[in-house]
Amino acid sequence: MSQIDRKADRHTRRRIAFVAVVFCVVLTSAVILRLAWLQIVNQEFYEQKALSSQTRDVTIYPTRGTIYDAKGKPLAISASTEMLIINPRQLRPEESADLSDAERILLGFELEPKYTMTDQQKDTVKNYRIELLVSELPSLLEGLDGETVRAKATKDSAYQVLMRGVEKDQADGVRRFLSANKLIGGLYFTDDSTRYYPYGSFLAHVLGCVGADEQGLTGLEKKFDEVLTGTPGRAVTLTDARGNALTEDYELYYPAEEGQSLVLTIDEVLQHFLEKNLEIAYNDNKVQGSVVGVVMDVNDGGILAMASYPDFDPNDPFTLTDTEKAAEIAAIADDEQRAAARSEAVYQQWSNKAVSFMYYPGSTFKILTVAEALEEGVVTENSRFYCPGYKVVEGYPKPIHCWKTQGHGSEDLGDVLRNSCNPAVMTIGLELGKERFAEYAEAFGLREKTGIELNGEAVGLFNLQSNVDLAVYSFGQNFSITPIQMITAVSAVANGGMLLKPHIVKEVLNADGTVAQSFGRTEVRQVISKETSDLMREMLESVVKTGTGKNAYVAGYRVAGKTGTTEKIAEMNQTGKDKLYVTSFVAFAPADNPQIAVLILLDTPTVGKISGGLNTAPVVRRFLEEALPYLDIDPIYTEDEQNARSVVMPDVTGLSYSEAEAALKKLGMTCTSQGSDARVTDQVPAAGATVASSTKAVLYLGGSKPDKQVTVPDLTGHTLSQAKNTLQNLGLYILVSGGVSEGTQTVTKQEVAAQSQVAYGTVITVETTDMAQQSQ
Amino acid sequence: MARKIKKPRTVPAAGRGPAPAEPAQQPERVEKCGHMDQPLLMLTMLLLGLGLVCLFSASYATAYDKQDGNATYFIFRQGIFAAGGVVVMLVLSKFDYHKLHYFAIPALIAAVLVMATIKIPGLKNYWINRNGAIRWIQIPALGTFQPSELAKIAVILCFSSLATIFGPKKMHTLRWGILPFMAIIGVFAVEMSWEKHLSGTLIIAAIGMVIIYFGGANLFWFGLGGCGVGAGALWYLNSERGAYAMERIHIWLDPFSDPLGDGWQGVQSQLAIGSGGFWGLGLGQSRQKHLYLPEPANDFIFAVICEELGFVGAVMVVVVFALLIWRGYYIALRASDKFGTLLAAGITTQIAVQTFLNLGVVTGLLPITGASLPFFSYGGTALLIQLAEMGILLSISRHMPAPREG
Repeated sequence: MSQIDRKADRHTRRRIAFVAVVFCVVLTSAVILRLAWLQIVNQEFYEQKALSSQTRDVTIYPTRGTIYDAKGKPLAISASTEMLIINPRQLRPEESADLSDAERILLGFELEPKYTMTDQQKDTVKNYRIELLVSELPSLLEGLDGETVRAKATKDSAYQVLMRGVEKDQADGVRRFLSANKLIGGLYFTDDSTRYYPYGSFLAHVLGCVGADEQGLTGLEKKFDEVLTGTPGRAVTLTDARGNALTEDYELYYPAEEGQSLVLTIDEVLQHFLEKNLEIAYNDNKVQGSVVGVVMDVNDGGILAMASYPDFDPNDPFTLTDTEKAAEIAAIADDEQRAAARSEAVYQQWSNKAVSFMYYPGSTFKILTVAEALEEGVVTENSRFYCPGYKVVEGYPKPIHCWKTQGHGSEDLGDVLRNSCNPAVMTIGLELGKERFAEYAEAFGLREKTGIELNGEAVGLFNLQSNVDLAVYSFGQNFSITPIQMITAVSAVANGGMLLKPHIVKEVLNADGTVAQSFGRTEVRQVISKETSDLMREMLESVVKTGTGKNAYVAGYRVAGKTGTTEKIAEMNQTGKDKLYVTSFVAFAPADNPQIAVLILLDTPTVGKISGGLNTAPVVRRFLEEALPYLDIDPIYTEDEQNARSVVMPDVTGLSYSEAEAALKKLGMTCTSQGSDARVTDQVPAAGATVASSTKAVLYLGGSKPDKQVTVPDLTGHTLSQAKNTLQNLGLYILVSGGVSEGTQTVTKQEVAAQSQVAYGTVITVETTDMAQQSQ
Repeated sequence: MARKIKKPRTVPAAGRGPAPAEPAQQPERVEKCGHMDQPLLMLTMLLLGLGLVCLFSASYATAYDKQDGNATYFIFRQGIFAAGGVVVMLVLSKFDYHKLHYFAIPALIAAVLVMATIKIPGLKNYWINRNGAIRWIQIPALGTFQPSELAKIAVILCFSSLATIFGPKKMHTLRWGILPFMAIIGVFAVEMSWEKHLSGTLIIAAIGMVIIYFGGANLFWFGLGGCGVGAGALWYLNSERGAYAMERIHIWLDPFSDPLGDGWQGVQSQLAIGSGGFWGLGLGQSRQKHLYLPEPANDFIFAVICEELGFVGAVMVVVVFALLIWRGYYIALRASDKFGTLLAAGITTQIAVQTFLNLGVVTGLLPITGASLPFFSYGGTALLIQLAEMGILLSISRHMPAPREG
């Protein structure tokens, strides 16, 4: 038998059997054990890792709720915009069909046929595309810079947010650019939402602002962030390695729960009046700090208006409104210091001074001291006091002076408030005693936050130790409170003694418009009795009628109020500057049936002889002049006021003289005539001009008014009667805003600037102030 | 050597008339050729069927992406080769494998020459470069074909033939049992290095060495060679040129150290396997095949199987492979002559080496290297050759003596 026909020997068979065992038992077992290790023991680890790379997890942002004013006007709204996403991995083309014509030329390809690209060619195209995006996108999208584009486009990622809040027309432009350059796979838009504040800086400090992801940063936006935000949803999509979705279906889908909306107690009209007057006051008084104002519904505790000036635009919250300050910060050389200074300034700009500003209330606090003493029976309406111009308080080396150093002499309780007399109030405070004084401070809510739904509410310093402290505290010095505390306490005095919890949110609305929660009058405690409150209202009305608060008087209305002026002692000691004052005025109206309370304060005015009565009371008056008619409170005028009331001059040309006279008489006006025609051919003042109702018009019967220009004189500093004469002699008319008592009122502002040329018979509006009111 | 009398293994099919009478009463036929080995045929067809199903699932994402939305591109082509391959297998099973002796040397020469065309101007244009490796020849109308597959067949045929002719005594010597074989492996190693085909060289060397080991080569030389290779490897790894290899070993041991770069393949493969869990995501549900896995229809098809069919399905596939290999060696052990034994063992070894190399790479037991999974991976000529080899195995099984009775 030949070699090759022989059967394999035992040796060979043993070796084959051995190898068979190696493969079929040893290696098979090894593979199976390895599979068990991967698929059973460590399954979770690999599954997690795999899922995180295989899925695209997209957050579905709910639409943020709207903030409305009390009348339903939207003040903060979220509008749908688009978000530009880049998928950097997709920028690298897979095949030549993905290339644009420019890219084909770049690679030296012919335009039509298919090519297999090398890795290097793919990278070349990717780099070309990145450069194209870096150079083109910034011109299509305002606010996007090339470096951001480059940083995101070069990341190894399938999902980068390139820009948020893109408006539709801008997005359309980008879409055209993308399709023209065959970049559609690499960049695309998804839905986004952007916060808008349609009225700019209006109510800015209350509303606050949001960051890039619509997260509340300050104000109501922050305080109610969760409510407004809603609950984000999630959509998980399976993707291939390039980030393309594998199916239309979501692996997981949780719908977003839309944000709830807020309805505020803020009245848009009152807010507008307040903001306008704060800005005027800021400029008139060259205020160094801020001007702050709060308006409260005394019977409900709802905040009707709240503002401070300077303000900011929540649409652009990081830009400093104070350009001087911005320049100062930009000049800081050290990067870290500059950034710190900047963020501090931004924070200051955002801070809502109505709840965060701590100040000595000064004489406005006398309202509370007197009310407490009356309530405790320490004094009565008829108690008499004597003011020699100072008071010696045991424990203090020097006599403590009254603002009127020659003294107020003998006075009753009403006089004490009207004169804003310090020695008398100190006497009352000392009578009341430390314990009761401190108890009342607590009862009026001055020792704790009011709990209003606003960010950054502060609590001032109150450390009553000695009788000297008590004496000084009783007229509002050396302890600090916030504006919101002050107006809340004064509202309690005005409304019959009930301290209310101030609130600014009236309702929380669900996305479908139904009311989820509503907030109204919340009583905290009865602090003083109705009788005391009645008496206080009467006395505080007299402060405005005849006392130091005269400049807050609004013709036809019963306004009650109190001035306050304090030195910023701590800051003066710190900086070595002097004459740093906070002047304030708190008022409520109507005095017989209070509806609103107003507190306005100026942090460091620098114009004139500084006092609450001179600097701040006129601001309150201007506000109330507009607010009270708006609130439909009927005025009752005195005869003087009736005459000074403004009316609109009718067009009487073409009428007979007697018809014209009758028409004017209805408005309280009188007239004289020139010429002898039957019909009125011209008139002064012109039709449509706002004039005082006491105005004597001139009617031309034939011919027309002299065609001459008149130079307006400087009236400021003149008494009202002087001003009236001056204008009359020039053939001009006067309209007075402010006090109309000719003897005591001085012109402080005129609407038409001095030296300007106006037509004969023009009406010049002037504002008057009682310059005698310099009390603290 | 007397041939044993073989009892017919099959009974007439049911329904073909009344049940046959007592087998003992049937006249016993003396046959030279029996029936082909049914278990091997069934296992082969099972793997082929499984392979096609899995390939369809594994390939459609890549096909869709790379072939202009034609998701059935790969499976269609593979199906044609499978059908042709089965025909070739059945034809070869009828072919008397002894005649393959005469093909041994011509096959060797043919393989060496075909592989040499890579250096011949004018012919080298038929070679195709894919990602830097030149391993394929374009045959007009047929598609692409790997000459290294031809080399494997040639080595199996030639080594089996030579070992049989030399006989145990000569095989035990260095001169006859080692040097001629090493020379052939050396020639192929040089040619493969032109292709930059390290894994192919390793497979051919492994198959060749296992065959001469079966043929009775002296283990001393294996030991000596092993020590030499080990020492060489150590020197290489410590040399400057070994840095690249060291890096690959490092990546193999911890692919997560560079998941987006060099570790990508290993990481994605292990993620696919691990996330399949015990029961798998379901046939067709693989996520990793969507461009995460490199070559999901080819080298990494087993990862897709693990992900879709889970531990249960993966173990099933591994066990079917093990049974096929077992059956292959069984046929080798029972072959009627030594050439049949060595040929069957060689073919089985080739399938086994490729299978376990692939499984090892995919599961992370071995460093990443290009190795396809027999019957599963996409590749028409490779499948055709594998089925042809099964045909040879079946032919050998037909000449097996029947098991002894009693």
